[in-house]
Amino acid sequence: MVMMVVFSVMFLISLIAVASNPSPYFAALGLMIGAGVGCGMLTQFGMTFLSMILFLIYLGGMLVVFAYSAALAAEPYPSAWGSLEVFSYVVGSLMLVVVMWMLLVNDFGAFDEIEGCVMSVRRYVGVSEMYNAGGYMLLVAGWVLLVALLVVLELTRGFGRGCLRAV
Amino acid sequence: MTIFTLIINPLMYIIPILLAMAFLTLVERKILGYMQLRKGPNIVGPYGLLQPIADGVKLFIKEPVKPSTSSPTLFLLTPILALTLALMLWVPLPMPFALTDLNLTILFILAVSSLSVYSILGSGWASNSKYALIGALRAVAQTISYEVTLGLIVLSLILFTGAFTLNMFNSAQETIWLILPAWPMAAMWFISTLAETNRAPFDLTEGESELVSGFNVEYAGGPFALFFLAEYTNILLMNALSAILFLGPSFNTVNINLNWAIKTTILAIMFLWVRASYPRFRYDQLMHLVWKNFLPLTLAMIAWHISLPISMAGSPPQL
Repeated sequence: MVMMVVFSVMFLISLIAVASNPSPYFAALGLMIGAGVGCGMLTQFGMTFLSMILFLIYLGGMLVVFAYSAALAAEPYPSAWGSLEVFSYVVGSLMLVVVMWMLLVNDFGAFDEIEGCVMSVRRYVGVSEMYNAGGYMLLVAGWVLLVALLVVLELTRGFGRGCLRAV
Repeated sequence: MTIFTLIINPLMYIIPILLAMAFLTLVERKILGYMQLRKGPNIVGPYGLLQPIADGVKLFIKEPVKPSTSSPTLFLLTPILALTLALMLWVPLPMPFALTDLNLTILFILAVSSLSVYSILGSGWASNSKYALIGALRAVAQTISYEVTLGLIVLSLILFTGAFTLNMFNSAQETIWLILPAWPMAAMWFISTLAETNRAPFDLTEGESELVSGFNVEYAGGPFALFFLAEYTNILLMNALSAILFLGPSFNTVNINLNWAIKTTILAIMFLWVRASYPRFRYDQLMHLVWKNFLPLTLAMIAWHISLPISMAGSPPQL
C-alpha cells in the first residue's frame, strides 16, 4: 500500500519530467525512471515476471538506444527543470495532476483491493491469458507490428534504394 | 530489528564484497607483474598487501574535479548509480543465508546489470567532453550488443534447468556440471562476460591511444574511485555468476561457500590471464564477433536446447 503510493507519486513526477519539454536527454532520463517505477507498480500487483521482462526489454534495450541517440544530439545549453520555460511546464502539469486528482480520485482505496490475493497465481499466466482473452485486439496489434516491420525494412533497405541513403 | 535488516545485513554484504574487490586489484597487478617478469606492488605492507588500501585512501582524499562545463547533478549521480547497481547485483545470489530469495533471480540480475549502461552513458554525456562522450558511446554500444548474447545464452541454460531461479541451477547440476552438455554456451558466455565488463581484449572503452581514458576522463578522486569499484565488483560478480551457471557449486555441503569461492577465483584469474595474453580487438572486429558470430550461433543453439530435452524425454527438474 505505502509502496504503491510512493511508486505512483514517483511515476507521476517522472511523467511530468517527460512532459515538461526539457532537453531530449533529460526527457529520456525521466522516461527511464517512469518505466522503472512502473515495473515496480506491476510487481506490487503480483506480476513479477511481466515486470521483469518489461524492465529488461524496455529499459535495457529500447531506452538505451533512445538515450544513445539523444546523447549524440549535441546541445550547447541543455535545459533541465532549472530553466524558466521548463519549470513553467512543470508547474502546469502539476496543476493538471492536482485538478484531475480532485475530480477523479476519491480515496486511496483503489490500491489495496488487488494487493496480495493474486500474488502466486498471476506470475506466469500473463502470456497465455493475453492470447486467451486478447481477441481481435490482439489481431490488430499483430498487424500493427507487421506494418512496423515492413516500414523499418523499407527505411533501411540497401544503400541506394531506401529512404536512408546518407549512411 | 529493522535496523538489523536494513543496515547491518546490507553492510555484511557490502564490506566483504568491497574487500574482495580491493584485493582483486592487487592480485591483478601482481599477476600481470609476474607474467611480465617483474614483481608488481611490493613496497606497501608485506608483499604489497596494503597497496589497495593505500590506493583507496589516495583516491578518496584527492580533490574531486568538477569541470565547469559539466552537468553537475548528473555528473555526480552517475558514479553513485554505478556502484549502487554493482552492489545490488550481489543481493539475489544463492548464498546459504541470502538476503533475498527471488523466484526470477536470473532475470533480476540481467535487468539490473542492463541498467549499468545508463551510468556509463550518463557520465560520458554529463562531463561535456568529446572524449568522454565518444568513449561512453563506444562502451554503451559494446555493452548492449553483448547483453543480447548474454541473455540468449542464459535463456538456453534456463531451458536445461527449468527455472529462472539460481537455486534451481544448483539442483540441476547435482549430477553433471552444465559446462559439459553446454560447452559452446560456456565458451561464448565467458567471452561475452569479458566484453560485458569491458575487460582486456575488449577494453576499447578505455583504449589509451585513441580515447584518453574513455567515459571517465573528466572524473578524478572519489567519483573516479566509485567507477573503479563498480567495474571490479562487476568483474567478480560476473565470475561468481559463471561459476553458478556452469560449474555447479553446491551450497548444501559443510564447507558452505568454499567451493563456489574457489571456482570464482579460478575464473577471475582466467580473466587476468586473458588480459596478460591477448592484444586489443579492433572496434569493427568486436562488433563483427557479436553480431555475426555469437548471435546467429546462440539463436541456433536455443533451438537445439529447446528440442534436446524434449526429444530425449529428459525434462528439467521442476519444483
